[in-house]
Amino acid sequence: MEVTDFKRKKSLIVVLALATITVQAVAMRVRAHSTFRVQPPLNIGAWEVKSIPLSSEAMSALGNPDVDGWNYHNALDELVTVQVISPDTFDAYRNPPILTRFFTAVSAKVIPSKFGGMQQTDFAALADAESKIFMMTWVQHKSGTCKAVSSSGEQSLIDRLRINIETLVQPEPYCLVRVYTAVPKWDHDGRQALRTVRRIADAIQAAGGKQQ
Amino acid sequence: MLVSVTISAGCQKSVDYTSPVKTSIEDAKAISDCSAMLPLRVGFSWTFATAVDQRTFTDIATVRGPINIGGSKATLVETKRNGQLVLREGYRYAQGQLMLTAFSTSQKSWVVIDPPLILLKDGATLGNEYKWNGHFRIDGKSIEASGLSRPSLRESVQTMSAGRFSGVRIDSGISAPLPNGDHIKYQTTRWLATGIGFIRREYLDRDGRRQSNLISFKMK
Repeated sequence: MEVTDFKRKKSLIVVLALATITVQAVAMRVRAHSTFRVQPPLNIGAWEVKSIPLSSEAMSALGNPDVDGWNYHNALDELVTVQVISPDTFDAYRNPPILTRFFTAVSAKVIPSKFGGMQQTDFAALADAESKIFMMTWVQHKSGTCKAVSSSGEQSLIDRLRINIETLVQPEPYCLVRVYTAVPKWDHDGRQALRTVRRIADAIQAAGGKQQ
Repeated sequence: MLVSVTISAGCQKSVDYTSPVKTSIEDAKAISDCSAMLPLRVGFSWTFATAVDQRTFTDIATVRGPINIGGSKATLVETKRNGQLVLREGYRYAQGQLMLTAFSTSQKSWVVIDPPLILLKDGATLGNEYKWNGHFRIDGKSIEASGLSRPSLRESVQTMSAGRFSGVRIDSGISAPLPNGDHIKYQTTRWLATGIGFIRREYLDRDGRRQSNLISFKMK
């Protein structure tokens, strides 16, 4: 009887030890990925950057990962928001609360870029379909290569699970980058806003390639 | 640290959408000769309707001719409202570039833009941005400023009685920070049509954006 108890305790200790080692390994892996966040250029042509920390609500929605927030602005009072997020929480891939609460994704597609690709998502306001936001998102590796998060309008549960699993097996640190801008009312079909957001996104992807 | 696994109830279904924004042939089409976009011949004039404080005024912009502003050669375009001067601007076309050299809202002094702000270049395509860094020179004083110009869109503009024209929307803005934290801003949007010039203008003033819509134009 005592021998059986001893064996059970021994097995339990082994299982606990293995679990602890696994958790530590996962945590180390995740921490290793958190070491890289691409630094956006200080200026892109006539656009200048300002560091803008994310609100506590936005941080909480993302599961409080390491995040850098930036705004690019120009002399026309146009604004482009950039978020660079470490992939160390399951919710890091969620869209910002302002988009999930007041907007809905109306279209999404993966578009190629010089450094790999990105996902373009177009949002329309729930209250006013004429108010739109264009967003580019991608995963940027320390080596400079980039890839779209998914081809869907929102990061679905499956997409996020897939990316989190990839995080564990991915040997190279990477971060998630999100670039978005509101489409001004005068820009009826969003052509200029799309050029703007794409230009900033391309410049950040190129900057990542130089930061290796 | 553990990977936080919280399943959100707000996940949305993946749908294969198609973006409504498509690359246009118009976007890629270059503006071959920007001097034709704003004919600066003496006597040319444009008559606009401008809404100010729920009243509509008639503005007449006229090309007055060559002028030397702060040592810089330009062509003066003067805008009057009910006979009163409201705006003077100095334009110059040189080396394939249409530039704004100075502006003024009074008869006495000028704000000289040094170097001139490029509004458009020959061969420009929509979305080109012309970064500007320089100084505003006002009554012998110099203020550091920065800005840009950009042909943003090609638009079909319905004028009040002169017809409908296809024009290029050019956005431009210069901002000069002041020691007290304020800024001097000169933000303007011009819609230019080949051979006609202004078909619409918009200027930012203290109370917001003022749009002037073309009623008629005269070519002498």
